[in-house]
Amino acid sequence: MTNVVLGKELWKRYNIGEGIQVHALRGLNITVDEGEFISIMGPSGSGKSTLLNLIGALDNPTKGELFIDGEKISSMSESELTKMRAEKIGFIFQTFNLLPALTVRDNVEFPMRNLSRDKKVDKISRIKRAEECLEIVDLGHRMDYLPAKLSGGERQRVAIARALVNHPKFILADEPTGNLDSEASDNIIKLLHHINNEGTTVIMVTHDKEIINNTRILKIRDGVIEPE
Amino acid sequence: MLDIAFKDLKSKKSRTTMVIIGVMTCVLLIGVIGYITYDLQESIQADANSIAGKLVFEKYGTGYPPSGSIISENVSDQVLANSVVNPDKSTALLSTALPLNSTTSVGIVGITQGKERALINNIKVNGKNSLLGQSNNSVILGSQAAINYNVTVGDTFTVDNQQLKVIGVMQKQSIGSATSLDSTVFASLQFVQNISQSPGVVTADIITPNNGVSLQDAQNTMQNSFNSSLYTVYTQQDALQVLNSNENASYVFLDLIIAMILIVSAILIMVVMMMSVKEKTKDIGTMRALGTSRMRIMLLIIYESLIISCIGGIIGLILIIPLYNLFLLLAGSTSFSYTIPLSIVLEIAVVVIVIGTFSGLIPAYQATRISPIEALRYE
Repeated sequence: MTNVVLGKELWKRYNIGEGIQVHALRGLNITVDEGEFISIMGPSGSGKSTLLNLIGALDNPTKGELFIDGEKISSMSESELTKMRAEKIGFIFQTFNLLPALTVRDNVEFPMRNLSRDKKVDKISRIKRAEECLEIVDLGHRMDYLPAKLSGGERQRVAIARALVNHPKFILADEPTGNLDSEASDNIIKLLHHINNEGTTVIMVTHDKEIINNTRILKIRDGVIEPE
Repeated sequence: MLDIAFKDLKSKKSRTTMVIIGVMTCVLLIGVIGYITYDLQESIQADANSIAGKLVFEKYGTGYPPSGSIISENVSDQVLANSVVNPDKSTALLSTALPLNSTTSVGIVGITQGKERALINNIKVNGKNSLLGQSNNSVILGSQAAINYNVTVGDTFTVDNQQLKVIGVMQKQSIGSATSLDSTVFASLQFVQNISQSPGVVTADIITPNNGVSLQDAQNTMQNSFNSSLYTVYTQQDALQVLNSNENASYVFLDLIIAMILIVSAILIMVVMMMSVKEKTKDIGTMRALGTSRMRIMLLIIYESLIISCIGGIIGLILIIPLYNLFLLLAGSTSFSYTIPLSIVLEIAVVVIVIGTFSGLIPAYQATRISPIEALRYE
């Protein structure tokens, strides 16, 4: 089975001024296989967000090697990381982060505009794919709505559809139920499991122990992953 | 990204409208000032056109249109009798001003009867275009003069106890401001000499060179024939130089105003776009996380700035004519413009594109510097 994410001896150091350095990650190792549903848990300050930023190709490690879908991203340039995010990673945020001026359909279609020239598709195909993804999350009847007109659960479902639209290698969900009530949370988790069952790898960061059933749990503490 | 820029602006209707109004006002002011400058240049050109291909013989200086110079009729006759001069198309003229009322005076020019074409050229005249054979008090009016005295062909009007009979009214010379010819009353030389009590003198001679004599040769011959420290012979180009230099201060002043409006307009858009970038920090962070390149983020901001600038510019352009005509109306003009000169449209287009692009550059650069990690935490 292919490693979707492979991190070897990942270190991340931040300078917080006046010569003070903080080590957010201390030689962390991580492996995520294709088709897995991973839950990353840990207390505040444990390095969860830093790990998320690295796996999400938003940042580079200070030391160590990180591979996404077999490609070494730890030494990639800023523009190469941007391309990696567009083509291989689907993001789901705690606060949904939909673009407020765009309709639901446009929000879902948006990441397809970021594909590199060789993978770009025409507008009609983009819209068709966006509508397909919205059907998957059961929001076919809300396509022309602006995000402000939707409930929290619906917004997160739009975000899931947006994360799916470019057929990513994995979906990175940062506290996907953090802003939702329990019913909406259940629905989102069911939806993520459904997507996972269809073959998409899911990496979820969460504090909520009630939503991690049927996932592989990675506990992170003091910048390293505790033995499973 | 253009469609997203449109949707983004649409979602911030109030702010977008306010900036568009700001840009529109700036464009409107630039357009009207540009129109005033254009009009001034056109009327100067039209003024100078009356002596195209001709020479003006004057005493002391090149003060076109001739007014302060005094030449004895004997000298004038010698000028017009010179071999390089075509006597049929040349004339002496006497320019003077007569009081119309306590505050206004009338510019009146006396020319040799039958030689009117030397000055009026091919301007169309309603009524008669020659004073030859007409009564002594007959006059041909410039279009603006006819409006000023509220007369038409066949009417009479009184100036300084002199009753003048209108035998012809010339058509207007330029679109905007009246030229010197438009405001002038043409009468016979003798009549003007009498009413101005200036017997035996003229102001200048308008000279058309004889066939086969170049303007330059005629100018050199005339200048060499008469004392150059007293008399000057000048061409249309010389007159244009003088007329334009008289307006230099106005041009500089108008250019300064345009420059200030441009700066205000650019700052206005820049400040609003910087605010917009700040407000959209989280959205930009989201776009960056979703794989939007810095270049595309930059384009988005520049597009927004350009859209605002272009919409404001187009509305401003449409409103230039009504505002300019209002300006003409308030200035007492009775003739109005209904088309915008191409040079002004091009000027506005350049202004709009330059303002839109440059004022968007700094905010766009600012947007590309936003770190997606920081932006995603931004509330």
